[in-house]
Amino acid sequence: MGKTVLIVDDSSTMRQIVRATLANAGFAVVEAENGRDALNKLPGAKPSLVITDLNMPVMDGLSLIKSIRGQPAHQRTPILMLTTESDEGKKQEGRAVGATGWIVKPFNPERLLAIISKVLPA
Amino acid sequence: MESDLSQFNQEFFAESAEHVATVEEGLLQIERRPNDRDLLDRIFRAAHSIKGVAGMLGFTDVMDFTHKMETLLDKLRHGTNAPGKPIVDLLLQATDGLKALLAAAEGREAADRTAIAALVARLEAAAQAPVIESPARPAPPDEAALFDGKAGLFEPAASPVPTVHDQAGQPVEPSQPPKIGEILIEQGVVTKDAVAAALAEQVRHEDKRIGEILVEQRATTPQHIEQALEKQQQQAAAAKKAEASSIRVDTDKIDKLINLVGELVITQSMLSEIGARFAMPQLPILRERIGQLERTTREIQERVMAIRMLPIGTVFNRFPRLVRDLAAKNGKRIQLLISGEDTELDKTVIESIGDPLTHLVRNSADHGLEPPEERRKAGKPEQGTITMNAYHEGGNICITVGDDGRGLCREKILAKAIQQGLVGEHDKLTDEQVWPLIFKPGFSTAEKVTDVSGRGVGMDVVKRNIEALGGTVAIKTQAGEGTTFTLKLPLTLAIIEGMTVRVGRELYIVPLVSVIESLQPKPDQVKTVVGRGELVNVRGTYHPIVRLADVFGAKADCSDPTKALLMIVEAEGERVALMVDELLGHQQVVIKSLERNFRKVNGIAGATILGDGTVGVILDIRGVIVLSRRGYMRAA
Repeated sequence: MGKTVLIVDDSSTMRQIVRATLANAGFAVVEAENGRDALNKLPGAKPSLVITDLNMPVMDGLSLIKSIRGQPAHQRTPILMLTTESDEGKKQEGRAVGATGWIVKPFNPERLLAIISKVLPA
Repeated sequence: MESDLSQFNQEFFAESAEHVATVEEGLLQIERRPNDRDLLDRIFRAAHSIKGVAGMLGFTDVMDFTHKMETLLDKLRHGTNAPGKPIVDLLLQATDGLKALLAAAEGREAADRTAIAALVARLEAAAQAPVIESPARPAPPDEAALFDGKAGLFEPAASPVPTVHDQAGQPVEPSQPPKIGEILIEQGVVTKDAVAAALAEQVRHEDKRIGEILVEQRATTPQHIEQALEKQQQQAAAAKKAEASSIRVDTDKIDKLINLVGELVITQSMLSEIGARFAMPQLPILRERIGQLERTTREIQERVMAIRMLPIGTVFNRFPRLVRDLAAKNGKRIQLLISGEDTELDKTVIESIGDPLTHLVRNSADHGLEPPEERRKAGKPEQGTITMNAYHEGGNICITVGDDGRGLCREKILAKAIQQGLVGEHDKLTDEQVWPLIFKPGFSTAEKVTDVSGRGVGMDVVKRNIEALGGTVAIKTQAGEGTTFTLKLPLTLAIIEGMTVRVGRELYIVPLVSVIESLQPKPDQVKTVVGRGELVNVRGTYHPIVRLADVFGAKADCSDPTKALLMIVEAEGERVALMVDELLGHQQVVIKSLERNFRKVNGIAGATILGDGTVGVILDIRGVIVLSRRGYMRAA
């Protein structure tokens, strides 16, 4: 497919899990460990999709989403949040700052691929 | 598509260990800075991270437990509860519980379920979170949705999270735990025939377990089966521990290595070219390229070794917690000062020094440091200090554990030594000879120090462990002022500094760490004593002369000690003078295991290939001393 996904999470294991899942489906993957790191890597990675955790040091997920949406190139880039609680508050906050959707941890990797295929035209 | 997430388990356990360390260190600091929001956030995130991945990989025990910790931590960081000592204590104990659950998930040891449940109850109470609140497992587990502007798409919760791991004791790796039948035979409980008969029976009734069948056939009792099962679990856990583990390496180290390998390839192809059409005028260029090869190879060697090197801080960081607990237990005030945490050493050495260091620290806290009033009366600050430091010296790493307590008491040690028959009543011993007595086996049995995880620990075990790593322990002590132990260890176990010596036509390598000095004795220094063989007098102390030629059956050039060379070496506190023909030089030597390629030979620690291609044998000094005493006594 040749599309790049940017995965942002402060847990290296989580990034590896997502990387392996996405690589199997033919995506190129760029990893970032917090919001600041993600913003630094954004221009180089030119991702078609961003998946981000919410709780991270230095810059958290919600701030990252706000920043990404503030960039003209990424007005419509799909952004998925990884959350660990079915917490309506966080989800609605995410929606307010422009996230495309969310998926709750722990998730079945196939589920992740399924939802990705809904936001990324094949 | 089946997704097998168990491939990420190892990474998870490595990462979780780091997060647990963050939580523990953070909690220790939070007592002093209860209002540090950033610190609380960091601790919260560490627990949160563990929870997230634990859930992904199916470690529900860990996930649920961490969720409880996280809930309390969340309340703390949002300021509802002030983190006072009781809460910090609870969280520290919870951290221990988490460590136990992680160890269980890894298959290393079963966790104490009752204790865990008790902790959960206390965590919930502290967070004032009723049990009915948000369940640890968000329901349903894989909810995901897209915001559609209007009504979002809601994916029905379908397949549950794959459980890929059965925690608490079921090894998923192919390393086979020993079979019950074998264990029973080993213990002499049943005969081979009985097991064979039971196995035959099992073929007919596949669902019956061997233990059941053996009991049925009256070959043994249920108690014996239980004991054997316990043993099997222990061995399985031990095997799991010994399996290949992983290291987290700085990508920087790997990059440098890749560059060097590139240079190696270039140099090698240059050499190939020269070799293909060699003519004498090219000799200088050849030498230069070979020199380059040597430099690059040496650098690669250093960098590869550096990959396995980890900062000693990873071992040191368990001690603030330990000292805090020991201080509380002993009713003493103790501060721990740590320096040199960045000093790096080989991973295998790191794994082995934890226990000896722990014992030394416990010793200082339990016996070395005085209680507050005693200190006050002695004019010392009420708070005792334990210092831990690490630094590189030569090819070794030195680790010190010291305290400003009572110091060792010469009289008490001598009294006990005399009582145990280690020393004669009228022997004259210098201080330096008295202190090492505490390392004699059985010396510390009077002090029943509580064990670290059930292993018998005494000063003698500490010394033996360090020496098994090729290192030494030294003691410095001053009555009323304190004691410092210095551990000296080689930087890596695979490469040692050695002195090459020649005996006749044989070459041996003596580990430099064992060498005290070398000398050519004068005639009046060498004496022969009836019943004790030859001795050499070095500044007043007599050391037995060990002729290496006799120990290994070689033929020496010199049979007269005054014409040969004596190397004073030490192992386990004993010093002997090795007699050799010639000292050839000092070099770094790669140890190849003799045991693995041939068989274990007493007195020999390993072998290596010397520069000229011949095999050099590396001596095990302790073994040589034992052989010399056993094998022969030079006729007086």
